[in-house]
Amino acid sequence: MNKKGLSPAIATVLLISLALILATLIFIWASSLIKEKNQKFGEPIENACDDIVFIAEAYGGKLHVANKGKVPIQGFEIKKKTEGSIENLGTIEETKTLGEGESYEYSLGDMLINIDTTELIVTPIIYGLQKGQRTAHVCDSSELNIIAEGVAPSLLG
Amino acid sequence: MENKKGVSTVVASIVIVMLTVLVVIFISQFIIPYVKNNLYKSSECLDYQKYFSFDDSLRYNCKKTGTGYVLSIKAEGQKELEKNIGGLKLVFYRSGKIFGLEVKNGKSGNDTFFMIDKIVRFADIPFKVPKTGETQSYVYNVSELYNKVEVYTLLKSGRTCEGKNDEISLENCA
Repeated sequence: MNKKGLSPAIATVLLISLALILATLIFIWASSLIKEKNQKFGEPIENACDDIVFIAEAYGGKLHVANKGKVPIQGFEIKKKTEGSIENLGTIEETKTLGEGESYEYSLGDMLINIDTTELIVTPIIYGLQKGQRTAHVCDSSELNIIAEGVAPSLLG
Repeated sequence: MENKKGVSTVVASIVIVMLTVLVVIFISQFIIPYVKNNLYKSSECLDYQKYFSFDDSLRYNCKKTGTGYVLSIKAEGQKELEKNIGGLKLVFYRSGKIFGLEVKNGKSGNDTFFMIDKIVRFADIPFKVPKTGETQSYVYNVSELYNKVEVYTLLKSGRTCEGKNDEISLENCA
């Protein structure tokens, strides 16, 4: 009988190739679904947030900050706290990194003009690595409530 | 010899190739967009499961005598999630009754549901949905007693995400 068909060797090669192609396709698809986490010091960046220690005061239109911890701070997110709301005023980010033991004066610009409170929430921003890119992360767990001096209550609201 | 008739192998091959091309076109034009659309719909709420939460830092989330329920809602998560937010929905529960209230930017309040600014600053401002990292407080001034309240995300697409973001028991303020 005249039998025609693929040789076992070619059939095996075809099956393996098919399996490899399928595995590659599934890997590419699955890896696009998984988001890489922002990391610092080889750990999730949230862990570095827990190690942030800083003190801050706001007066003379400036935010005076001293970094008392080991985690470098890149900037701050400023919010105003009123009775019933917490709203973003803006972000201050400088090219200078505030390292361990360092202090710096950040200009608050126009942030304190026309605000109806003196209570501010200062939240540090640190940089981590995400997909090889430097990515900013706001450390909500390390926020600090401060009173802005020089904002006359009589002029509020 | 039996008279065998049929298409030649060349014609058969051409027909099979054409059929394959037609199937590929059909899948790429109809099936893939349909699946993509359904996948998007089924996953668009995934990132918003914990977007809104009740914020206790302002010491509300309770029933104030004479004022009603004062609820502080905080928005958390990635900043880029903000662009798809259409608002939030508060769902109040009591035995035998469920009642929902929607908060959308710019929507006016009424006599029973409004921004807290109407009380603390005597300013009757339209509703503000908290942006990422922000907190806003709302007053629901009713005499009925509710046991708990849940907060849900409303997307710009008009969809209310089914999963509750957060819930609290309602009690009188201290």
